[in-house]
Amino acid sequence: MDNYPSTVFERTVLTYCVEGLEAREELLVKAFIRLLDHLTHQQWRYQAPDEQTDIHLLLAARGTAGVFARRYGKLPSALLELGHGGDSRHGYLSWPLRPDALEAELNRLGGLAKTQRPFLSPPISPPISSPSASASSSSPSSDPHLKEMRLQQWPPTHLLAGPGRMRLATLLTGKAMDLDALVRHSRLDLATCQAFVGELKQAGLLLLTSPITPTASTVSTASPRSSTLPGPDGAHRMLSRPAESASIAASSGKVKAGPIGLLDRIRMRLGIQSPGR
Amino acid sequence: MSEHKILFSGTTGAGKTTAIGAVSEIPPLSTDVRNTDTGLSKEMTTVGLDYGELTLDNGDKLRLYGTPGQKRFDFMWTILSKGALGLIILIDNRQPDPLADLDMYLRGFKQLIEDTACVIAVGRLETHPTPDLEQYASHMASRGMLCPVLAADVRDAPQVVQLLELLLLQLEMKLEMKLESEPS
Repeated sequence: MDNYPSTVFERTVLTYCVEGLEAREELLVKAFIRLLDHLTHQQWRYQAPDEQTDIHLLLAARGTAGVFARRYGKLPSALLELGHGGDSRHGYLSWPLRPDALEAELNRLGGLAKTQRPFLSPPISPPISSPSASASSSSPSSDPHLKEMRLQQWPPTHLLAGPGRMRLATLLTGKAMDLDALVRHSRLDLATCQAFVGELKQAGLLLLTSPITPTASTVSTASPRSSTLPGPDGAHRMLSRPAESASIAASSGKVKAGPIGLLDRIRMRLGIQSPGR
Repeated sequence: MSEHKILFSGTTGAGKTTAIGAVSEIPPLSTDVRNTDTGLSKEMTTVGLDYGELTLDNGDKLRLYGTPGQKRFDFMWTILSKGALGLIILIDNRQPDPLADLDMYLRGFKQLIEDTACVIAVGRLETHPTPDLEQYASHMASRGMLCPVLAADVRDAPQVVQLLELLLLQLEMKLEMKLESEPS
């Protein structure tokens, strides 16, 4: 059995910046990242935050991500907080820094950053105004209605016990969505979704991000009832899109009754109730 | 009439043939032969592929393919991946190194997983509890991958339907992401 990383998972270059660390700590973190370069799945490069390029990861002293957001009006797609005290967990590492823990977090967050849409272009507008509104998954005051959420890791079994929780978790493996979208897609009631999100947050499994204001480039107005999904062979498979695209399609004014989608047909055949109806 | 397909892959003996048979409207067509691998405690094993199908209400066919589990047939994984809607990976926890097995399929179907959807179903957890689902989830995360990981007994049709349901849900979200990112 070959081991990762290898040529199978090509090393993408990702960028990181630093906020709120003491000079000595910052130096140490950068040195660690350089030393780990031959081990990490992605290649990490330091990027000054004021440069006009996407930054994938913010390494910040605990509670300072909001300062970064205020100063630059933007947040990277992943956050790793560093602090004194408390146990290290997903999204947080405690000093003294352990290289293996840092390596694991870089690999985990690097994997997420690769699959996520960039959050720096265009910059988040308006700038986030308080540290409590930072992208920290540990921020207890974050309002999930206003935040987009995505799972960082598939949750443990005890968090999935309960009606609809498997579906909720699956929804959160894909696109980042706010609580309202989660309720809409899952067809579960707000309280159920809220309770699940709360537990995920407490377990440090959620990555919270500020939503991007929809723009012409982020909301498709073309062909609202169908889209192509590229297959692994590059062939494009036509999938008719049912009501799940209604919110997007509605903005285009092109919504009209159309044929039921392929996914719904499969669900119907399997006797599964369609979500989002 | 259009045709669509979903793949079932995974360790030999994990139950791909059984999973397909649980939901297919036709008896699954298998290319099973007598097992000569003394490391496997089963009489028959699939060397080609399994096939089952479902007819949708508009006449479209959903084809369910089970890939051969052995690494030496990985050339077929690529062929079968073409145009597939998604992948269900069945892992047999009785195997000596199930996480290494998982790695093999994640690697073999890397492109399909990235482009579509994937669900991991772990079997025989009740008799072979290690690695547990949390270990699978951490393992996936360490590879930068995220998809549902659940225990499943594929002899039970509702559990196979649940795997398909999660696959469709994932696919739907992926589709929505793609639509949102498409230029107008």
